[in-house]
Amino acid sequence: MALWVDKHRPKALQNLDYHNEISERLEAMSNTASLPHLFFFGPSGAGKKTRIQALLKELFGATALKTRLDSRTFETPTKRKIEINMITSSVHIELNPSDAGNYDRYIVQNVIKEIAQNHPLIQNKQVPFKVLIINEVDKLSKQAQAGLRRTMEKYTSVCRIILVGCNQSKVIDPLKSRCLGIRVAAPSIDAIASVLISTGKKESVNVPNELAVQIARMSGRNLRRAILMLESAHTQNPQLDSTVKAPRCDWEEYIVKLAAEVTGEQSPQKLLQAREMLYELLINCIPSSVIMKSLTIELLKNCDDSLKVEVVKWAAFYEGRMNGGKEIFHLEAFVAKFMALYKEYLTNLFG
Amino acid sequence: MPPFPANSDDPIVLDDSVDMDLEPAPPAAVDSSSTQPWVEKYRPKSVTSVKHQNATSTSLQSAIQTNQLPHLLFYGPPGTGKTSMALALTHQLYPSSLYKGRVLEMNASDERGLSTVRNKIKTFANLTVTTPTPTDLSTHPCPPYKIIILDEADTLTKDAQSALRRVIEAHSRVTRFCLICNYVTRIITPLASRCSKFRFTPLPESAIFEKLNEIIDGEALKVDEGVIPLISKLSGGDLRSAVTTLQSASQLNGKHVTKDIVLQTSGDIPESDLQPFVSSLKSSNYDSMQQSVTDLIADGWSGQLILKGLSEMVMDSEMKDLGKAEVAVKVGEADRRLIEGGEEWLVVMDVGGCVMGGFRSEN
Repeated sequence: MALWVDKHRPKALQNLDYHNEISERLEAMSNTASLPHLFFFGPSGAGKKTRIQALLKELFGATALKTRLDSRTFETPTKRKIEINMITSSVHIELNPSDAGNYDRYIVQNVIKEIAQNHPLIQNKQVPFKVLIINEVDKLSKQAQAGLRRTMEKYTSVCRIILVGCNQSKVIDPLKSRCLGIRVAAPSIDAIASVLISTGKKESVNVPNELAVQIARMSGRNLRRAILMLESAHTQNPQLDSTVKAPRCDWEEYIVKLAAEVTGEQSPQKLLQAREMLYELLINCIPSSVIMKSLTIELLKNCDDSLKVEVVKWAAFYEGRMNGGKEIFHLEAFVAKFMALYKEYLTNLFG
Repeated sequence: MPPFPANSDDPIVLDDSVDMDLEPAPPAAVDSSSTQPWVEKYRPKSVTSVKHQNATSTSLQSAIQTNQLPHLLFYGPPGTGKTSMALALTHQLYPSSLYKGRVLEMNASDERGLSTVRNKIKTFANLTVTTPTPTDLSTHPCPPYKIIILDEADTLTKDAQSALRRVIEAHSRVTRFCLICNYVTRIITPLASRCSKFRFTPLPESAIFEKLNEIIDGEALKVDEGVIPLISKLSGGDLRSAVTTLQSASQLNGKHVTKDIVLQTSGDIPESDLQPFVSSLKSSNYDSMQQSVTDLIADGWSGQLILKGLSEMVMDSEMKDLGKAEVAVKVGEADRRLIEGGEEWLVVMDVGGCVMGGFRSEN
């Protein structure tokens, strides 16, 4: 059984729930057959992929939705074999070159260039090109991005490239200047709530308004997450009424608990305890930057403004050092720093 | 006898990088010029028609007339006409029938490690030149050497650059090199000293106006007043980005370009979106700042753009000089953290706290 997220994903541009101006723009472009290269950017769960799928359907009709998984292996000049998975249909190819890590530039230079050079399989008078979707373009190395530059210009007549990424600043300017950027902002709380209610209707589940708004708030404006939360709330309590609380992930609860422990008492013993809790989070594969951010947000709730500035300053400091290092050290250092700051603050407050 | 290693080259690769006109032709029913990016369509055809780079174009023009071409090194920021100049030069020197055999264009989309320099470039540099037919000679100078254009040469590895040193000298009788790069410092000195250097400077407004007007006439666009200065301001002297902005803006609204659309396509944060953040900073309200930063990031704006807008705002504000200096230091640090992959929310919040402190000490 498919998840609600996939089952109720809109298939056509007309059915998209929000950002109507983007849908109209995409529709206008798909009619003129002069589609430029596109660069979709925005936070995750905002609906970038959904829009691309709908655009493909608008361009090519139902053939674009019949996809299959392909994999290709090729050899780098250093004789290392690399395998890359891609999702293909007869009119488009979707791939994720950043999977290859340091070897991403060979994928750009070999696979993508080769795909871009060939004619589309189906000769279509209205749409004389095929579409190449490159995911996580912000994670590509600078070299790989540079490799895309000429490819994008040279083969425009047979191939359109759609770049997808979260962070537009990590994409080099020469690439951005070759694409039409489309910013897909995360949906507003109201938009998410109304999508949740209509999703509920399709599943013939009554979603009370308060619950929808509550889930929308907790999702951090991430629609995918919101729908998943709704579905898990539904499996726990098949009858959703206003008494039902939106479920929180275990790890979020755990961070709330950690924050409470740290603000409760500041001592070396507590620090040891906090270390155990941090380890627990890390071995459950919660990314360290997520831990740092959520922990900071929780800790801020107990601080006054001047302390908040200091806490955020050190959080950013230790988070910045964490990259590539041993994460636990820096998380623990942050907790220790917070304890020191908080204790000092309390002493000043009560004398 | 041409020294041609028997197993040296697969012809497909050579063909592919030789000529930009060789790209697969689109199906006949479609007019290729309508789908072509304007950057390609309006590339200058001759050396002298490249805008603004007068010193370079004059000396290259005289080089064409006298057939005395040195090795070239073009450097300068993006969109200033380096590639255009190189392509225009080769098209002026050789007729299209000879072009394929005389010009090798390689850029970062081709594999250019050590082995490529040793095999492909060396082989091509080694080839003797064919004698041009009298008809070709009547239209083009056809000097007796080939040209190898290495575009985006600053992405060549150090080893590959070192390997080029001797290749450049040994084959200078039959081959000229043209290296193109953004950062001349990334070209090793021995290589740079073998070439005559030409610096390309960002285009002034007048040159951008000229080119944009040419395109507007050519495409029969309807353009509102104030659009051209706006595009030229946003581009910061980068003609390619100016032309792309114009093209994207015209595609959105059927040949009619307005200021709003240009602002939308440019990708900068509009002031109205930044306003809640700025006012929360000025009123020292930490909670509303936290909310506005969360919103900005959820709206898809990247940390770097937020910082750019923020620092511009601070520099124009009434904050004291010392406060501004502190903010500048903080923004610099934050930018580095972002490049190293720091968490955006934390970094922006950190800078926000610093700016807030700066405003507070005013009162």
